[in-house]
Amino acid sequence: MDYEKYILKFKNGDYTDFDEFYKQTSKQVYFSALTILRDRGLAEDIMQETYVSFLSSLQSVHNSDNVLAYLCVIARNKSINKIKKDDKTLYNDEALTVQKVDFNEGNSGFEEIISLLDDSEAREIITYHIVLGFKFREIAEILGKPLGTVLWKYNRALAKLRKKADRIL
Amino acid sequence: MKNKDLKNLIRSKADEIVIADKSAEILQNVKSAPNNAPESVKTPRVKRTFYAKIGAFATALVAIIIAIVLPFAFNDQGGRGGTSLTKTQQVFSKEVFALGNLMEHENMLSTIADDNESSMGEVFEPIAKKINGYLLSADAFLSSSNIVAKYEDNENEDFALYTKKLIVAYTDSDNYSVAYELYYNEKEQNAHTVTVDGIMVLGSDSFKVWGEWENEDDEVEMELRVYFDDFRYISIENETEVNENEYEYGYYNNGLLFSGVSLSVSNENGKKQIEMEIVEGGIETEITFVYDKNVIHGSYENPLFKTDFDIRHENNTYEYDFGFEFKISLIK
Repeated sequence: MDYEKYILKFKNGDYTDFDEFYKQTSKQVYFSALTILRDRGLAEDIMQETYVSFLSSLQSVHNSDNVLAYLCVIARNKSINKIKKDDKTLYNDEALTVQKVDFNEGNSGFEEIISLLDDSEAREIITYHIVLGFKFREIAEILGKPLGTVLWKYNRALAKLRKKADRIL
Repeated sequence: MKNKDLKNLIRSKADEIVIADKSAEILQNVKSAPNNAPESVKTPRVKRTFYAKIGAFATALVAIIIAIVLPFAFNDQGGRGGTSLTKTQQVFSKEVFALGNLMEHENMLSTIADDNESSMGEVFEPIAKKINGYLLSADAFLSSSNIVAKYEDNENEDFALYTKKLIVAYTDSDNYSVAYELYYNEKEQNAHTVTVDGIMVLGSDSFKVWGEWENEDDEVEMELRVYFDDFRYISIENETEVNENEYEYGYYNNGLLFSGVSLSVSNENGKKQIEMEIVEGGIETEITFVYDKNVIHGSYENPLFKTDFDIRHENNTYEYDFGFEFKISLIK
């Protein structure tokens, strides 16, 4: 998807098509945050902050850049910073199990399945590839990881989910 | 649970989540927010693409290949008895070809057709050899109508353990042809999953092959492996549902992935491009190729080194021209 036309308009202060841009990109941004935070309310907050940051710093964005990946990177960084700030357990060495994760009321399904994976990067890779349709090399760029690592983690995560999903479904 | 079911489940659960329209609040905050730079992020760039070509085979092997290829019609529908290939057969034959071609280069002691003793060889020769094993396959993927696959019952007593035989061949624009034979058995695991085990014949060598595919609603997800020995193998994977023009290669030793290659081909409006990403030793290398009439413009870049080159192809060789008066010819 070519977002160049939107970027050019936004740089000129013309946001008339922002809602269209938002519709085309919000799923990727939202799930980038949700996969890390596993809280829909927080993910929504981070999503808003992501767009605000993006629009506020458009001059540093080149028209030819991979805008979608850029938005995901911003959302991801903000989500990680949020966790560190709130001292949640997702990014330390403590392993998580389904029983230890508190789901907010109304959160189920996707978060429950994705939480079967202890490795937070594996959760992201699964989400980016299966839900959001990113190619592996795009995911490697977003995560700042080698492609081989991404491939390996994806395959392992799928195998793990297959085993664990059978038990809860 | 099958991979496909799992993926569909994850997607359906994700689709249940409704994302609120916050565009108005966002714009309100933008107008009232100070002009802050975002967190330091590396801005992903649109990748440029480059292309390279690969070197030659022994004359005897080429003769055998041509002998196998000649009886076939030049189309990609050469199934049994002239019937069209199924999607699974198309993916399988492409993956068999790709792995066969790669194994041939991995197995060859020397691929150099025209040895250049320039000191620049130390720098550029490894680059040319690295990509040589992929270029003919990528060319085949771009020109898939020139891939011919013949599925038949096995009548070769040397491989009597296997009931089926596949011969897959490709002829490029220089009329250079290669072909590979695979003898194999299929086993249905369930309604949608099939595993194969067999032997791939490359000249006087043979290599163990294992594969698995899932086929549902005409979407195919397939992995194929060719083994160097009991511990080392190369795998290739393709998911037609995701992108049928993207192939993932993996080099495994003792079950651990130590090198990966992502190969993506595109042919839009007559413009042919190949993108490769190689991850090895923690270093990620991007190689792109653009076809330009009789020349392929290539570019190679990683954090340590960057270079451009041109490739000219003729008969059974690719000639890499890295400039600096350094050229190397490799067998396709």
